[in-house]
Amino acid sequence: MKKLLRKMRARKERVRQYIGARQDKLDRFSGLFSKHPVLMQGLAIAPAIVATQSLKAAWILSVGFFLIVLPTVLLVSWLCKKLDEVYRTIVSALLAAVLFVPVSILLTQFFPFISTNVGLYLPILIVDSLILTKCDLYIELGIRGGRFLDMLCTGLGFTLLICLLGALRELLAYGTLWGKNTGFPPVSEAVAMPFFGFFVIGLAAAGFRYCNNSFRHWINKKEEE
Amino acid sequence: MAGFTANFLVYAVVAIFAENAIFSRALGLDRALALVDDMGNMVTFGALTTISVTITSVFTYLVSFPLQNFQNAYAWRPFIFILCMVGVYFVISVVLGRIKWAPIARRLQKIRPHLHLAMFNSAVLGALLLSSSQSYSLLQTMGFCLGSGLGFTVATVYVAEGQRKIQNRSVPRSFKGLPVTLLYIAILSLCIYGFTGYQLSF
Repeated sequence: MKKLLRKMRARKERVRQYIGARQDKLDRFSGLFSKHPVLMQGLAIAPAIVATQSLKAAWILSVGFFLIVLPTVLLVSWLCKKLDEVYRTIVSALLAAVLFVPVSILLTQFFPFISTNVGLYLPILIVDSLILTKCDLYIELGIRGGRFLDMLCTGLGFTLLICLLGALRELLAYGTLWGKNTGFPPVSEAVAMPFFGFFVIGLAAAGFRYCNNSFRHWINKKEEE
Repeated sequence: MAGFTANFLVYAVVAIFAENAIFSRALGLDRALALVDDMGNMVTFGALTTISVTITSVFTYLVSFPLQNFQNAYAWRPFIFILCMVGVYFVISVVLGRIKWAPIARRLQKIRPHLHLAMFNSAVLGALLLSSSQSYSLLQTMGFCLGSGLGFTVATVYVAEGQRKIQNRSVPRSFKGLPVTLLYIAILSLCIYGFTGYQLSF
């Protein structure tokens, strides 16, 4: 038993040293955890709180994020480096609005009641502060390489959160998943209200910060000693 | 005349309280969270948002007519509304630039850097899209958008005041900042839900 515990501690220490030595490389994937757009940075928070009443709505929002927000950020940060912040805001809003037209028409083919599912929270992505924040980060800090990976991780982090939240709220509010009855008894339709979204996101943000702080403390522990 | 005013005011009051931009729909929340540290900037930003959305609502009401029977109205409406917002932004910017009277010009120079963020945010676009989808009249649209802007400002002040009081309490480290602010807004949102008692359309 003692031998097993010693082996486990040694393995844990090796893992800690391995991760500690590669922190710079792991930071490229920070959009999934330590720089999560909703839970850590408070960006794209309106769709995550109000529109995630069902898994279908969450899925529509995440597809919209990848097809509208991601290309807008990449194009604006690549093409509009020399533009003033004001004109960059206007160009990003116009570009996202132009991208919204074909994306919305495409999504309507698969989800005919898109305006009921997500309402104004898909168009809201056009003027979300995440676009400007990421563009400013890439332009003013001069980050060139790894932009696509960073935005991909940001999008994946956003998608995972809203899909989990949408599934949970649909199950608790209506007892269904993707509109299909699961046999799970619904708890209360109030779960679909915005206040529940605020509660869950607030608690999830606190949990994320606790895990992030504990992880950073564990990685850097021996180095401080 | 009294009927028109009452109509306007009813929609404005509903938009401020029962359909508050932040507490009922979380619109403009990301900008509000970025501003809560500075009361002066917050009120200025709220005032700019209110003026922007009220003026733009007139133009979006007019351009909504051709879109009503259009098949892909949901897809084209945001693009056309963004064009209206761009036009109104430049007009407001030019008007503010022409004011030469020294006391106001100095104040306006401080305000102008915030105008583009006040115009292009989810609270403005959200209010415009909502009023268009509900098929309001011009007066109702203007009242609703004015109320949305004022409601956004009032909500931001509430959130800032709450955050100021929470900072003086011993809050666990993981809850400091965004998490405790969201929990505070959740309680206020629950009060609004208790007041209205129904799911708002979006």
